[in-house]
Amino acid sequence: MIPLRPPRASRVQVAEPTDAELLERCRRRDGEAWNLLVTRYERLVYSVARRNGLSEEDAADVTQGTFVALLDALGRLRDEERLASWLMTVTRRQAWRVRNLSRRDVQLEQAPDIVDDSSEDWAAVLALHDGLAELGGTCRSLLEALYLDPESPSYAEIAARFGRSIGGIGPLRGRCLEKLRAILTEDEAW
Amino acid sequence: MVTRRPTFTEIVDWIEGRLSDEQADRVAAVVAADDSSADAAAWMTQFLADARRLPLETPPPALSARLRALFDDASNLPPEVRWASARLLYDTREAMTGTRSADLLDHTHLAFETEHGRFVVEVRRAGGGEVDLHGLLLLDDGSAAADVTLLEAGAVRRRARTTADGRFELTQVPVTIDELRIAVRDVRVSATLDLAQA
Repeated sequence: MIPLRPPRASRVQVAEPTDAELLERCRRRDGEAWNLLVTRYERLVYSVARRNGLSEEDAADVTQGTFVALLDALGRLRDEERLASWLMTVTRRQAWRVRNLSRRDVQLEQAPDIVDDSSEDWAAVLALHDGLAELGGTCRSLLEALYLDPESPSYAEIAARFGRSIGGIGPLRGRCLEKLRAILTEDEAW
Repeated sequence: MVTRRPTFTEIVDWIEGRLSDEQADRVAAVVAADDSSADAAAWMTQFLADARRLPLETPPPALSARLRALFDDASNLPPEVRWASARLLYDTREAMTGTRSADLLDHTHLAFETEHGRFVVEVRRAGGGEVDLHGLLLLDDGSAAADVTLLEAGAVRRRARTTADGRFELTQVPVTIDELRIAVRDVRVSATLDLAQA
């Protein structure tokens, strides 16, 4: 289940820091900023590792390796608005290495399922997650809960988690998708 | 009731099968005849396909804890970046009046000095509480493309990349911006900006 924010009534309305702001704070040794980055991207990185055919144990190692790489690259990262795709690319590269090493030691029938997206599909997924990162805030959380949560929670469950009425979820989802479409269309990724 | 051209939300509802048969028929008819509605429907279909390619799994709690602890281990961190403060060499608002004047900000020059070189910023009033900034970076160890960042109360607001000879331009900058940072190679410089009198 994808963790969501607490209901609106108990939420302080403050602007979410952007990825660029969090990276800048990390460069200044702000541990809270690092925790926010981990919260924002740990599911994405872990899911890319799993999607590339790794076991839970190997996916955990690769996820950790990706976040170590992020720490190492803090001073060099330039295009910070594209952190999602940077993390996904590093993870996929590491997963390939781990997968190819482990395949030497396992029987073919024991090898985990491997899903190789075409480069076009992969580019679309990268663009989608960069777009979600730019969208941010409630919209990002809502769209992730509606469309990316493998447990497919119902509107009623999502409404309860967001502290909204069930009838309000559909229109909000429509507005959030429209914003995401504008972001992705502007980037000419889709 | 579906309007002649359905809203984006209605198209999403149609794609997801959330409309009654009658409503769905109406949307389908419009989508078949209207390019804009067809584009919206095609985008939503593609979105659903891409979202299905990568459902987000929650990592084990122990992994989450390990990831957070990475930051506590100093050996994982790169050398701390030290930001040198730039010193204001001159401000033409002060040079002309002895004190800063809002009337003179139509065209102002600011010059800064740092331990790594100098940079100048021309400030032009753009109206609506905004200014245009044109800058030139003059590093002691030669020119190179640099990252220029504008911040407001510590939050990043705008970014630009200088040309190879150190020039940069940022237009329609809110006068509430109060800091300019320059990063190039291992040089990190921060300058306090006072644009609020525009």
